[in-house]
Order: sequence, then structure tokens, then C-alpha cells
Amino acid sequence: MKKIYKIEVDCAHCAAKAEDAAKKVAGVADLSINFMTQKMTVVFVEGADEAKVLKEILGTCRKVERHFDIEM
Amino acid sequence: MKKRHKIMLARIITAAAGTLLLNVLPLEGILRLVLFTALYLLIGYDILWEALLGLWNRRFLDENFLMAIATVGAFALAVYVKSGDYNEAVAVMLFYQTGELFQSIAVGKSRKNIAELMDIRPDSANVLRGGEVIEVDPAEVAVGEIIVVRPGEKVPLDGVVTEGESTLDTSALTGESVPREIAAGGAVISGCVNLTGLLHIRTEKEFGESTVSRILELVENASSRKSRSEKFISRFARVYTPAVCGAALALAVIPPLCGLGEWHEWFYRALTFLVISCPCALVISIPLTFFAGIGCASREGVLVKGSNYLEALAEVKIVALDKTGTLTRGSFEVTEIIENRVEKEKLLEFAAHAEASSTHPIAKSIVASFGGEIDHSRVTNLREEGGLGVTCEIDGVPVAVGNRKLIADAPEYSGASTAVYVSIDSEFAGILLVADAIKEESREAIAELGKIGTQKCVMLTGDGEAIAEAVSRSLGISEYRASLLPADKLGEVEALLSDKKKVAFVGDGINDAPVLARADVGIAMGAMGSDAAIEAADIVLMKDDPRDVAKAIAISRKCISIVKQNIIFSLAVKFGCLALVAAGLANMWIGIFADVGVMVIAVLNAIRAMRR
Repeated sequence: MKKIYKIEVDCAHCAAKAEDAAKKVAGVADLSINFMTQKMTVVFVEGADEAKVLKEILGTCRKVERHFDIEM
Repeated sequence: MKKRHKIMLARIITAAAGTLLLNVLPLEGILRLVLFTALYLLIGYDILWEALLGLWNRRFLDENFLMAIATVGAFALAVYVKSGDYNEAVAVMLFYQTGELFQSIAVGKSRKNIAELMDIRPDSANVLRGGEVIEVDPAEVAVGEIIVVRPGEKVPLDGVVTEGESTLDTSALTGESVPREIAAGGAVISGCVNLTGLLHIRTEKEFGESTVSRILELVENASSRKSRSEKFISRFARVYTPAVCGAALALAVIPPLCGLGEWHEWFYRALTFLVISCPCALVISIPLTFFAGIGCASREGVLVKGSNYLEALAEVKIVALDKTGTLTRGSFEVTEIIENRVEKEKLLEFAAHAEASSTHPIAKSIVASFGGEIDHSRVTNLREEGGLGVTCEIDGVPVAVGNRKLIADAPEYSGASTAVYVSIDSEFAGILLVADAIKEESREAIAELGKIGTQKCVMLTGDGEAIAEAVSRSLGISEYRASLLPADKLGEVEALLSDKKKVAFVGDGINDAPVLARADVGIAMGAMGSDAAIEAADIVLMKDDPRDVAKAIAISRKCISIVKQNIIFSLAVKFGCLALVAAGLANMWIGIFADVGVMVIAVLNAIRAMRR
């Protein structure tokens, strides 16, 4: 299941770092963060609890970049 | 400004004012220390907190950690040597926060500008169902439904106008600022803005297949293809910071152990090293430059699929161009009329009437060139002479239009165009020369490529030698390859690639998708609607204008030169300052310039890439 979320991230480098970290979250098959359009595309693993995975992604990204935010 | 930015600004102003005040007031001893500590915490508490969090999350050597160590160290040093000068620690934090704030606002603003340029996604579609207009998600509209687009709205899906007349603003797609007229029967591409009249459009594609989705997909994936410069910077940043921190440690310990001076002196130099060790200027400005360059290009109707292609485009030395559809219009046109005893207008009028019912492309081009109303009642006794042409009577006068075999007394024409002979009243009346017309912009396009330093332009065509020679001469192209089958074009481009110079191939995407993919940079022209071309190309020119090739190269070169300026400038200042600090010739103030000052300058420079 592929979903696109609007996000808030301040700098391109932070976006890249957050992307690297969030890719490793369990339940994420693929993930990309576009700094320019402030969008995050998440491909969830089949059958994953999306809300839970998303929360995990947010937590992971915040560890890398404090101002990271996902609009839900 | 966001709320977060406003709070930060207030903190910065308060801290700056406080620092000035404390320096004027005659404060001594413990009270001075307490007040300065309060100021320091006011301006830097979040950095200290972040540094702790960073350690907790095992992010060593991130910029917060470095800043925290450097300033706490400077503070501690001032206490240790009893100098009472706490200004440095507060000032370093102050400038660092100011730089970060500025950077955040500037980057956010230019990012927003770029994003607005590309904001072509329609939020909703007004679909006509059961006589009522309902607002739905564009993705829910099926092919063949009628959508209503009011003035000021974006066209959400590709389709054909069934009702209404209007003008369309295509500038978000093509960069073309002149609005396009549209009426019933005309095809409309999603992403255009309806300007004047109400339009009813029958959709021809689903949202996911519509032009706007394809373009968005292309643009939104652009950041995943990183350029060599960006990769270099992220590798560099991984090495640079630990290396400088290591050097700082060595600086703090080794010289005083060797008896080369006081401990606190070397400790101070080491702290300054830490301030300089943040690679912020580079990691922020380089990706920003590429974003700005890609944004600038898309404003001009040039879509770049990734910063790696922008980089490759800047290095292009050889440009191979397909002829048909790229340099020429790809459709036949009467280019010249050689008359004999009748006026040109009459010759064209008669030829057009004789050819009016034919479906041959050349016949159609004659009718199109005539442009006037065809009165079929004037034409009688029409006969197709297989392989030769047509004969008929127009207003009772016998007319023949076709090749030379049909008209015995015609003189032989030898040239690069196709000759259509006309006889009126059984006598040779003239020749219409029909050719694939060269675009008006093509000559200028080639000249501009030469001007910006392209070493060689090569024209590739499936046409015969004579036509290829004539076209390339009239355009000023130095080399051409004629009589190529589609597969041969690939071979020719591969031969050019073997020179080890960057080769760009420009084509219209019809039959040349493999060549677009094989060249270092594949540029598809006028690609609105051509899926294969958008798929295969690295760069898509939305307008059907060959001059955009030179424009795209110019934009990419400007972008790359800014990237190079920023890399060289930042590194030169940083290494220069490191050397000065190590030699004891510079203090922490210089260090903060090497960090924050350089970052601000680099970001400002990066934003330049947004303008042409």
C-alpha cells in the first residue's frame, strides 16, 4: 500500500538523513522524502498496521531532525 | 515567518540587547557570571538540550553537540582563567542561532517559491453527473465523463472541449506566457489554467494517466536521483567533522605536552576548531542549489528528472539532433511556388481545389497552405491518375496536378524538396515545392548552441542525402547523417559517445526512445502527451522550441558553477581559518564567521540559481 503524506522538514540534508533512518523502520517497504514538495511517500509492507508504522516513522525522523512533522 | 521563527527572533534580540547591556554595566565577580550564564542559557538552551538528546540517540558529532562543547568550553575557560570575558561563548551561540534562523527562513522561502512553480496538482474536479455538477477527487472521474472547468480553475484531467470557448494559461506546463485560445473540439491538457470562459470537457484519460500526474511524478521523484556533487558533499561531511574534531583533540593535548605553551591557550584553539568543524554551509547549500536550478528550469518549461542530469547537461559537448519533428515541423508544407504564366495565388488555388479530396499528406499540405475555402462545386471530372496525380476541370478549365510524368511540357526540377507540377488549360503553369518545413527557431537554436560553447552539433535523419544536406546547410549545422533507419540512430549516437565527451540527444520521442535512453542526456521535445518520451528522456522540453536546448544547458551551467563556487569558497575559508586558528592568529570570532558567515553567504549564492 503506497501513501503520500504532507510533511514539514527544514533542510534538504535533514530530509535525506530522515529518509535514511525512516527506511529502516519495520513495516516500511520503501520510503522517500521530497524536500522540495514537502511530501513523504511510504510504501507499507503488506498487512502492516499503517497508523502504528507511521507513528514509528515520525518518532524515528524526530530523533534525526527535531522539527520533523507529518500532517495527518 | 513561522511561530518557531518568531520565538527564536525574540530570543536573539533579547540576548543581543542583554549582552550589550552587561558589557556597559560595571558588574564584577559572581553576579557577572550569573547574569552571563542566564543570557547564555536563554540563547542556547535548545542547543544544549539537543546535544544531550543527540548523545542519548547516539548521534555523536552533530552540529548541536559541537556547538554545545565549544561554547561550554569557552565559558569554562573564561571562568578558569578568571578573565571575566564571557562574551565569546554567548556571541558564538548568538551568531550560530542567527545564522540558523536566517538559513531556515531563506531556505523555506525559496523552497516554497520553487514548490509554487510546480504546484499544478488540481485539488478537485467538477464533474457533470445526472445534470448536476458535483465536486469530486480528480482520481474518481472516469474516462468519457464531462467535467466543468470555470475561469480561474485548473484543468484537472486531459480531454476534449465539448462546449465553451476560452483562453488557457499553459505557463505552469510550458513556461509559455502567451495564453492559448481554445474552443469546442480542441484538446486540453491537464494542468493548464482556464482563464476566461466556462468549459465543458469530455475526459480522455484517467487522472493517473493525465499529463499533470505524469509531470508531477517526474518532478517529485527528481530528488531521488542525486548528483555527483551531492554525493561528494555527503561523503565529505561524514569525514570532515570527525577529522576536524580529531585534530581539535590533538591540538588540545599534543602541543602543551611538548611544552609549547599553556594548556588553556591550546584548549581555546581546539574549541575554535570545533566551531569550524560543522559542514553546514555545504550540506545545506549544495542540495538547495540543485533544487533552485531544477525549479528555475521548470519555470522555463524544461523538466529535469534529477540533479544528476542537470550536472550531466552542464558538461554536454556534443549535441545530436533528430531532424523530423525537432528541427523541422514534422509535417509537409508548401515552401516555394515557381510560377509560369499564372499568378502564384491562382496556381495554389487551383492545385488546392484539384487535391481537395485526396488524403495523401502532400495533397493535404497543399490544401492547408492555400488556407481558403474550397468550393467543391467548381471541380468536375475529377480523376485519380494512379501514381501520377489527379486531373480534373475547375470552372470548366482542364487542370492536372501531379509529378512530371503527368505534365509533358514541364521543365525538370532538381532540388531537396518534393516538386508538385501543375498544368492549367493543358499547359504547364508552375511547380509547388513541398517540404517538411524547418522551424523558424531552429537556425537560432543551432547558433545559440554554438555560442554557449557546444563543440559539435550533428543532425540525424532518415531522409535522403539531398534533403539532409540542404537542411543542415540552411541551419548552419556542421555535420549530418542521412538515410538512417531508427536503429541506425542508436549506432550513430553510440559512435559519438565513444569520444568520451558528454553527448546529448534531442528528439521528439517518436521512434527514438532507445536513443533518448542511451545518450548521456536524452532530451525529449514538445513532449506534452507523449508518454514514451517522458518515460525515456532525462530532460523534457515542454515547449516545441529547439532553442530551449541551449537555454537548458545555460541554466544547468549556472547551477553547476554556483555549486562549484560554494564548494571552493566554503572549503577555502574553512581550511584557511583552521590554519590561522592552529597558528594562534585567529580567535573564536573568526571561527564563527567560518561557520555561520560562510553558511549564510553560500545559501544566498545558492538562491541565485533560481533566477535565470
